[in-house]
Amino acid sequence: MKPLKNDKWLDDVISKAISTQTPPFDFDKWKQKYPEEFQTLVSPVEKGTPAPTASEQNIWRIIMKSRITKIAAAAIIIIGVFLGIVFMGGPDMASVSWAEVAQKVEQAQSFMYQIKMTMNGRMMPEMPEIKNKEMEISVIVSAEYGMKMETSSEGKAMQQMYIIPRENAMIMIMPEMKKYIRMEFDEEMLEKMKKQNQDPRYMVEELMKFEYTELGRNTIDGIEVEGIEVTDPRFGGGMFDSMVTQLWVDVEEGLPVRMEMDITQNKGQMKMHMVADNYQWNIDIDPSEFEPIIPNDYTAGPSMKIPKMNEETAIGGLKKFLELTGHYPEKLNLMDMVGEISKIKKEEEKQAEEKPLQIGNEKLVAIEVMPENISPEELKKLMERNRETMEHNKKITEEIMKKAERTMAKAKTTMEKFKDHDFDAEMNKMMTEFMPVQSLGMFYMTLVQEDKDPAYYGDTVGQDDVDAVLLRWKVADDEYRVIFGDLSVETVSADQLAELKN
Amino acid sequence: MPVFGDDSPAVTEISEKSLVETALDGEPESFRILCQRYYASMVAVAYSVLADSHLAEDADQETFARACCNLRNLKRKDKFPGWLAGICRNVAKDMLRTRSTQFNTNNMAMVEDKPQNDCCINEAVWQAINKLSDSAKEVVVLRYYNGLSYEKISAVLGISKGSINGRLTRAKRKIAKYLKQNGFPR
Repeated sequence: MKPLKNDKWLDDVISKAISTQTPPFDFDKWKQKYPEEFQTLVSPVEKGTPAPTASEQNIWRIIMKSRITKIAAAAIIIIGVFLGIVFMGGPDMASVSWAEVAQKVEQAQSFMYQIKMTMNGRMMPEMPEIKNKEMEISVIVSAEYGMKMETSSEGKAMQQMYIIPRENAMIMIMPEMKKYIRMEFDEEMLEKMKKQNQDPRYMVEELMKFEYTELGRNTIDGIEVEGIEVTDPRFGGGMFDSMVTQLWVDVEEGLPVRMEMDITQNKGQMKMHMVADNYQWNIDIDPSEFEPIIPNDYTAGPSMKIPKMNEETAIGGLKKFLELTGHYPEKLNLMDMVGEISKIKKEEEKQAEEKPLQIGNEKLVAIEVMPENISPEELKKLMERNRETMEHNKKITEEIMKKAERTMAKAKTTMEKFKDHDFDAEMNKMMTEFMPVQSLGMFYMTLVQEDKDPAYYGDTVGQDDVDAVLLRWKVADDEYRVIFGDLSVETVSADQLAELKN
Repeated sequence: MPVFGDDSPAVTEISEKSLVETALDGEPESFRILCQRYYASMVAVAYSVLADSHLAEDADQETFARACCNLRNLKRKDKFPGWLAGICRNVAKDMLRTRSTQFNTNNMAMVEDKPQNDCCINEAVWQAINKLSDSAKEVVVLRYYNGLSYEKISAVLGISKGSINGRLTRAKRKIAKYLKQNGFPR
């Protein structure tokens, strides 16, 4: 950078305006003013905060830097912070130095930011339409204590989520239902995270594979920023139809100022706009902020284990989908899979509603319609049959009514209890049906993000196609892992793969 | 740990990492050295937020108190100055919020302390500094408030000397432009 003309004059002027001589620091006076704080140094074992163990520290740092933790609501923090941060470097950006940014990110012990989301449309075909649904999320993260995320809509608290690294657990509190759910991490999953995330620059290298467009300079809230735009949907692990992300970085600080995302899903029927801003770095942390406060009248939902994301669980997900739908998913996009299961469930419910009323093995019988040009004798017989049918139906209807009355009375007395059972039953159902499918979707998402050349042929391959490739991904330069139609697994060379049918 | 004079080569050569580690081992002398080493820098950091030298000194004392309590949580011990500066910034911002102090030329003791004939240009310089971004303001104050070296600023801000030079040059360019627009030098 060129030196300024008349630099000496300017130096003198600035010096005159602001220079001073700070008096030396009087440590003894300070000790007197802060005796308790000083004592933490002198007798750290007695009064100091116990240092977290190495594993506690590592786990959270790993979680902080991981793309895999997109599961559940943790996704937002990862998308909002890490995917954002890691995009800010690059060889062509004039003023933002990646090395500097990486260093700062590595040093960040704590930070907070806010997200505002607006949603419109249907997330999945069978879901109700959402109109201008706005959600506000505030996130606070500490490398030591974990993460707290509070979601509200129209000023009403919807959900609080805590990640507690020392317990390897996530806790979600749902004020509307007066419920909370505890979800535990799997050790194996954490190990996987460790391997993938020991070096934060690894993530950057991976993410920088996506092409980006430079948006030039702008000013946000008086801060000079530089922006880039990424349009590759793989950025979101292929989870959405389209995803356009703009990241604006403070030119001087080299830290994100704002990130905007425009997402479409369900063939354009769902649109989501997300703005993450108000980033504050290295803030003071009050550990009590990260301790979930669960009111006494809240009850625990079923505890859940966050599923693994590996080949084994992917196969489990394929089996579950097959069991639920009778075929493999057409695509391994998580949204589409959940949408397809929901659709089938809805059809089943509809069919159940359309079934003829029945008690025991007795069914209501339809009355015969009188055909044209019927003879008097046939008419007489038909009327006789219909009279018998009506008597039969009357008898069954009376029994159905009696049974319904008894059921209603029982339901009335157990209504409150029923509510809880219903909730727990729903959660259990989700665990048994959706979790394996979610694992499958998340596994595929990581394959996409890690650029492991995954390919999936569920639209043409069925369980009888024992030799056909259902899913494959790269495991080494010349090696692919293949899941066949019968869900058997094999590692093959690139040449062998070319010979396999799909 | 033996007690040395603060400017003795033996003390200046002790790394932040060693000082933090020995302080954590219950040796307060190490923490004293750290405080004295970074006191002026932290006062400047706080001053860039508070624009009041007395408040900045108070903020600095509070910073050391918080650092004392949280020292055990510092993982990269060699990054102590940057970590301390982060705490200091937060303390100063908290004070600014509670005391509703505005960063403007009206409450700058420094301006008032200068001779009358310097006041106009001093005010103009402060107005120009006030228009800078927080990070630019901070680097200018660090450089000129206590005359800190690039090396020390680099340690405190956790950025390279080249980046400091770049930030300073850009900031000074803006200050010069502002002064020129306001008729300086007269």
